[in-house]
Amino acid sequence: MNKKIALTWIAGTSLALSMIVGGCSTESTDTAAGTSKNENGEELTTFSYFIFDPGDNVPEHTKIGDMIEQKTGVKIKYERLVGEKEQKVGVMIAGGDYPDLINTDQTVKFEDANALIPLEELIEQHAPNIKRIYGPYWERLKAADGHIYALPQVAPTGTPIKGISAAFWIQKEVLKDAGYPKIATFDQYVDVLRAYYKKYPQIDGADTIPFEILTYDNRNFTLTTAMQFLAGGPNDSRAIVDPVANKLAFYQTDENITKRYYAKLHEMYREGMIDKEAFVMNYEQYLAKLSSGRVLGMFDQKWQFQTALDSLKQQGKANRMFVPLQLTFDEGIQPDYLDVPSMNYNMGFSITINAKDPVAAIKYADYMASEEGQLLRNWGVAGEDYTVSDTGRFYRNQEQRDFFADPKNGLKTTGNILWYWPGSSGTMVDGNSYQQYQQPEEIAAGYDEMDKELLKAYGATTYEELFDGPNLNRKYFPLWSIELTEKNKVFNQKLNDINKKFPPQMVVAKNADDFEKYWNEYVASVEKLDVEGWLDELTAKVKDRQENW
Amino acid sequence: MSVTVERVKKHAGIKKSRSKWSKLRSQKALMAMSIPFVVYVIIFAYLPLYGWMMAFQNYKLGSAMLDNEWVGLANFRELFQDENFTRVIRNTLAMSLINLVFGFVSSIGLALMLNEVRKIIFKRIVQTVSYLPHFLSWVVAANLIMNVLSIDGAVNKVLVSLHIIKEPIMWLSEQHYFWWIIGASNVWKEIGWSAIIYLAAMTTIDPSLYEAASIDGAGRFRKIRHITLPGIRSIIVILLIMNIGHILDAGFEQQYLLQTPMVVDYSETIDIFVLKYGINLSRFSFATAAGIFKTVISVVLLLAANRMAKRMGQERLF
Repeated sequence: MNKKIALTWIAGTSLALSMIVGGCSTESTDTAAGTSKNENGEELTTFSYFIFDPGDNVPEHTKIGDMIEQKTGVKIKYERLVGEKEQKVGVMIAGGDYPDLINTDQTVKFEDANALIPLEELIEQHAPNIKRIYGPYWERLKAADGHIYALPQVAPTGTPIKGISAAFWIQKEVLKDAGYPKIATFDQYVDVLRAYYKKYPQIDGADTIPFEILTYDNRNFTLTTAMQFLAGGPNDSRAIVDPVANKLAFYQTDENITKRYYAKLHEMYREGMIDKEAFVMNYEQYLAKLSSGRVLGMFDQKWQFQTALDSLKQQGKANRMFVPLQLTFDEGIQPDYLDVPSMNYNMGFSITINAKDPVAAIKYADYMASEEGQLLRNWGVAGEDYTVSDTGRFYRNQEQRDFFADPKNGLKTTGNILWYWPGSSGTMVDGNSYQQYQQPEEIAAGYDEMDKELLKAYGATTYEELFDGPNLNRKYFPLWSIELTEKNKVFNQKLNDINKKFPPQMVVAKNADDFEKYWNEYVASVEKLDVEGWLDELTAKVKDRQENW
Repeated sequence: MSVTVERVKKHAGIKKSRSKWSKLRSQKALMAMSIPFVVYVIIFAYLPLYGWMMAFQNYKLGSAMLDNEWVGLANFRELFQDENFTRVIRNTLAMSLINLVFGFVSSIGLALMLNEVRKIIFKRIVQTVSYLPHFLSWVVAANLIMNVLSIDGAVNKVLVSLHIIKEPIMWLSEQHYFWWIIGASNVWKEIGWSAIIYLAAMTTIDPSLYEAASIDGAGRFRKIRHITLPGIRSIIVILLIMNIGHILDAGFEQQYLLQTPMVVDYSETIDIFVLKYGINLSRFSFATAAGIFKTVISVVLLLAANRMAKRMGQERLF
C-alpha cells in the first residue's frame, strides 16, 4: 500500500479517536456551575437542575422563569429524565458526575454515595421561608444519620387539601340511569353495574365492559391492593396498619379480605362482567378502552387514567366520565380512602456535592418557597394569569382557564416545571389555596351540569365531601414510603412477581375448584417467603415514626 | 490474512531469508494502522473487565472499587439457587433457539427467492417493505403487535372470517403461544434486514456457473441447490457461529413489552430477571455475577461451535 495513504489513514483514525475521548471529557463541564450574562450585562449564577421525572423539554426562557431570574440573579438549567430512572441514577452515581441540584425519589441511593450535602445548617442560616414551611416536620426530614438531605415536594399547611386519588370509579351515566342510588358496598356497586350492563349491552356500537382491571407491568397494584380499601384500610399497600395498637396485618393471604375479593371477581368474570382482555392488554390499550366510554367502572388511582378523562371530555362524552366512590365489603366498615396530608419523605429537592455555591442555591430555593415565589409559580401574575375578586379570592376567568387548558401555553408561561421546588400545599393565611388546581372555585369550575345534578342528588357540593376524612392517627403514613433493607426489598420484588402471576389466574379460573387450586398455590408461594421478617422490619419502623413524629 | 502478507512481501521485495526483525519493520505501516483499533479494544473491551470484581464483593454505589467488602462466590450462589433461575434460563434458551432457527430459515429463504426475481422494481419493493420494520423501536412494534393480536385485532378477524377458528383467541394470554409469538414477531421485524447479507453474498457467485448449469439442463431449483446455496455456505456458517455466541441474549425489550400477567412463566428472560433483581434494587454485584455467567457460557458456546466447524472442514471464525 502507498505510504502516504497509510499515513493519512492513521492520522484520520487517531483524530477520530481523540475526538471520541475528548468529547467524553468536555461533557462534564456542561453541568457544572458556570456564569452567563442577563440583558443588563450582570453576571448570572447558573445551576443545573436534574429532575428524575420524564416530561416536556423546558424552554430556555419562560415568562415566569425569566421574572424569577431577574429577581434572584440565578439561572436554572433544567434537565429531565429520559429513559429508565434506576439506570440513570446508577450511571450518575457510578460516574460521580452530578448536576448541581437534583429532584428525585431515589434520595437514599445518593445519600449512600455521599453525593448530597446536608441542608439543615444552610436552611437555618440562609432560608427563613423554607424553615417556616418545613419546620413542623423537621425531625421527619432527617435521614438515618441525622442530617437533612432532601426537601419533599410540598409541606402541608393551613387547611389541608382533600384530594381523591384511589377509589372505585363509576360512570356518571350509570349512576344517573339507576336514579342516583346510595352505594356503600362492593356488592351494591357490582349490582348497579350489572343492571346497567343488562339494559345496555352495547355502548356506541361496541360491547359494554362493566368492570375493567389494569394489570400491565407494575401497574397491576390496581388488582392486588384494591381489597385493602374494601376492608377499611388506607392506601398503605400490602399491610393494613392499626395506628393505635401499632399492629400490622398482612392481608394478601387473608381469606376474609383477599380471597373474598378475588372470589367475587372470579364470579364476575364467569358472568362476563370483567373485560376478557383485562390481563392481556397494555397501558395504552387500557386508556383507549376507558376513553371509548364503554367501561362502566374500575378501581384505580386518578392520576393513572387522567388522560382518559381528558379525552372523554374532549370528545363531548362528559356523561361517560367517572366519579369516585368509597366502597367497603360491608356497611359496618369505616372507609379510609383519603390520604393523610403528609409528605413523601426521602425524596424531593437536594443539593449535590458538585454545586459550587450551595448558599446561592439554597437562597434561590428559599425565594421559590416564599409567599411571593409560590404565588408566582403556582398562580402566575395577578391580572394576567389569574384574577382577584373583591373579597380577595383568587380565580381564573374563562379566558385564562381556556389559555391554560392547552399545555403548550403552560410550557411557555412556567415551563411546567416550577412545582419541583420546595413549597406549601393547603391554604394560605388569607384562605386561598397555594395550588391553583386545589382552589374550590377552580374545582367547581371544572364541574359540568351533570356533575352538579349528581352532587345535588347526593347532597354535596364537591366529590371530596362524599368521602370520609383521613384518619389523622396515621402519622406514619404512607407505609410504602418506608425505606426497607435490601433483604426486604428483594421480598417486595418476589411478592410482586407472585402477585403478577396468580391473581389473574384466579380470576379467569374455569370453575370454583380451579379457583381454589390457584388460591392454594398462591398462598403456598407467598408463605415460602419470609413474611415475618418483612413485617418485623415494617412494624419497628412504623412504631418509630408513630412515636417520634 | 496470509494472502495479504504475501502480497505485501512481494510489494516490498523482501526475501524469505530475512530476519524476523526486518519482517516486522517491513510491515510497520500495517501495524501502525492496527494500533488505533487495538487501543480501542483495550479501552472499551478489556478495561471494563476491572468491574468484574464487583461480582465478588458487596458493592455499594459511589464507593471506590477496592473499599468494598469481599464476599467470595456468595452472589453466584444466590443466582444459581434462585428458584426462578432455571425457569429463566429455560425461557431464554427456548426463545433464542426459536429465533435462531426461524431467523436463519426465513432470511435465507427470502434471499433465495429475491435472487430469482428478474423484475428489478418488484425486487426493490419487496426488499424495502421487508426491511423497514427493522427500524421500528420495539416499543412501537410491541404496541402494533398487541393491537393486531387483541380480540378485535386483525389476526382474529382474518382467522374468524376464514373459518379457521370459531371464537377469537386471546393470543397473549396463552402461555404456550408466547415463545412462538416472539419468534414470529422477530421474523417480521428482521427478515428483510438479515436477508441483505445473503443477497450480497449471492452477487459474488460467478454467473458462468449458472450458464454452465443451464447448458447441462439444470432447472431453477437445481441451480439453487447446487450453486447458490453452496456459494453462500461460508457466510451461513460464520453467522451461525457468531449467533451461537449470543444464545443467552434472547432479548429483553421484546419480552418485557409483550409479556402479560398470564404468561410470566414463559416470558421472563435472564435479562429481565437481572433488571428486576439486580439493577432496579441497586444490587449491582448480583447483576454483575449474572453478567459474568452469561459471558462465560457465551464464550464456551462460541469456541465449541467454532471447533465443530473446523472439524467439519467448514469456514470458521479463527
